[in-house]
Amino acid sequence: MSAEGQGRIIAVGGGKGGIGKSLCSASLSIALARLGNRVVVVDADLGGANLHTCLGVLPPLVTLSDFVNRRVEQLEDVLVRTPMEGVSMVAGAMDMLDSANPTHQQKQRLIRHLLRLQADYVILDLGAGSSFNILDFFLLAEHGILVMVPEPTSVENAYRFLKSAYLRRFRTVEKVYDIKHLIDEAMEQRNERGIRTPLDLVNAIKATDAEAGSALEQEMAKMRVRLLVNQVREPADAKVGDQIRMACQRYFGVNLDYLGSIPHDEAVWRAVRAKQPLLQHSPGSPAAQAFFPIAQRIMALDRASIQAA
Amino acid sequence: MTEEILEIVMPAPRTLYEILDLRPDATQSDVEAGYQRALEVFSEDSLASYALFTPDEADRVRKEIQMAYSVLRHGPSRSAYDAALAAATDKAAATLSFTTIWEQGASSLSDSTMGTPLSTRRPVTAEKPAEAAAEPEAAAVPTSSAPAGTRSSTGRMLVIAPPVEDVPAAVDTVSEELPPLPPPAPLETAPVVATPSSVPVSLSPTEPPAPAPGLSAYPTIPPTEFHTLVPPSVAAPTEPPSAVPMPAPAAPPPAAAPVATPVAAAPAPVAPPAPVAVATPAPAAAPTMSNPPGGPRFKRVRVDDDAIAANIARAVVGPVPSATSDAPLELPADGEINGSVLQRLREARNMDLRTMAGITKVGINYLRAIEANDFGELPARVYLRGFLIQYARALRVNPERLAGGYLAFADRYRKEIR
Repeated sequence: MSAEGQGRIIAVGGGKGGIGKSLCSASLSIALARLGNRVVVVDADLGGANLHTCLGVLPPLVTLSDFVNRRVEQLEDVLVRTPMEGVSMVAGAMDMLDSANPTHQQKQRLIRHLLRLQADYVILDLGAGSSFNILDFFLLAEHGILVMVPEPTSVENAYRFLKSAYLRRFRTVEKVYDIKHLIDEAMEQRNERGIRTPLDLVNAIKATDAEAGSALEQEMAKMRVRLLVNQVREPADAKVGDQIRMACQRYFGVNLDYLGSIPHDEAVWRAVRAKQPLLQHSPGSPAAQAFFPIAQRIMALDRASIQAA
Repeated sequence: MTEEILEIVMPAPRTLYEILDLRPDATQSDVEAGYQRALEVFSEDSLASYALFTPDEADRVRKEIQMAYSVLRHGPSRSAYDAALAAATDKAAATLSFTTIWEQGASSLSDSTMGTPLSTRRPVTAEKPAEAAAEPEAAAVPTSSAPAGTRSSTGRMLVIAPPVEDVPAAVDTVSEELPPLPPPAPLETAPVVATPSSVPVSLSPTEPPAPAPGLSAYPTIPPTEFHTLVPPSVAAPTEPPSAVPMPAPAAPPPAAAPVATPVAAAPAPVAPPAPVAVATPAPAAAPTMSNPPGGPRFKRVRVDDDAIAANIARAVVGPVPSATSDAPLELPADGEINGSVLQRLREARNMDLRTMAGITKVGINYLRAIEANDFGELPARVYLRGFLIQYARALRVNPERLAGGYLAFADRYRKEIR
């Protein structure tokens, strides 16, 4: 549990739709709860909410939309209980038209309230895509979990997502340190100086202005991206997570933490069909079991970061 | 051109360990595993990297991996690198300097030993004159000057010759062809010294393995490579030693002499006694007095030139202690201004390549190519001139003279190669 009763925020994204983000969010929330945590899981898929189904809950009457549009004052007012002990939920906006693109103010308010929730973990189930709104929630999180399946389409989207997130973060840091001119200058000479990847850019800025470059490097290293590979079918697929970690290290200069993989499992499909949480419907299935080491890994990362602080 | 950009794109930004995703305390089997894993990640059909890296970039990363592996796989070279790392405050810069040196050492090694049987390689980097004397060509030479003369005749081995005590001054000078970098002083001789016999094979994984039976197998170097091939007779272990002017042990070579050396030693069209095992004195390999003037066309070998140029620079500029790094530097008054001269001047200023790149805003790989006389890697003349002017300003030497001198050298060189 973190200080002041605030929950650690876990954002689950991945760029592509249909790769199991909601299922992973739900299952992870249950696994974390079973390990003794109080968990709130928020359906932040502002365009296509269906987390409730993965948690075995009927479409609730109050949703995030009510909070965003100030029909209720507190985020707690839209919190609903789930059949799973220790897990409560904020359902996604069903009337997405006015919620899919919240104003800056609405977003800031949501973030404020998310940070105040009384829980050990707050899991944000993000929608598909790489829009600003999604990225901002991802970057806000203590753990930005990138879900992907070992298929080219998913990997491509995941990289696109990561590039966008990196750039978004970059722009923030650039403002904070007032180094936009350095970046622009470097980008003007990108060909002469051979700047292709984000890592090149950071190195180029370091060469020009060591102090600004180091600050930038450190800030970018704070991106806490975790990787989760879903629907692993073949033994070779299990390697993909680690390989992606290495490729990203080389490209972005940012360390991803590979959380682990979830095997492809018919039990998942059956649980969704039954509108029940996977961990309740088939607790012994390989897919369900795989969420526990991942939950433990997340908790271990938190313990490590507490010790480091 | 793409390659040129890539060179700069992918500076070695990290330690060699990081390139293979290893911890510095990795075991040798970890190194093997890390190498295999890294190759897999950046292989052409890798799901993990194809969407992040263009094929060219991935290719570059693969080269980086090879480089890291070639250093880390051998205990001695790895130890040397570890020492360099421990001594350096900037790990990335240490890696960069180390690998630059390593690459130079590697290219010199792989080129000059290409046609030489493995068994002869160790003696070539003889640690003691006595050992060198066991070689036939050395035996034919006055003992005192043996190491110097024989080495220069076979060219690039000079670069990697270990610093040897009790050896004539000339050899000593030559062995320092790669002058110590400011921070990690001991590293540049150590790795190459340590593994004379095993290095050539491992260093150039992309190059074909050294042909076994010696000179009959002509080294196949890709035509794009800048290095020109040494005619077999040059590399021949039976190279007439007496064709090489022997500087007196005590007296440093006159400034101009070394340049003439390899050219003068340029091979007579002697049919090389092909598969001579040098380790066993071969009586057949009678010293043939070559006649340089009428000799065959001789293509200069880059590293060889550099070794010589470095000597000139040393003779002209003299060894510059680091304490004088702020003192005014002079360009050699009449000597050739080439990459090695520039390198020496830069080092006299206590600047590493990164610092130079930071000041001049010239990409580090252009700088490296300038210093390596690697004209194929350099841009059009007008840009090169701009680079050189920046370089000179950073050194606080006369920009016109430096740029003019270097460009003249480059022009001569280009003509010669053609």
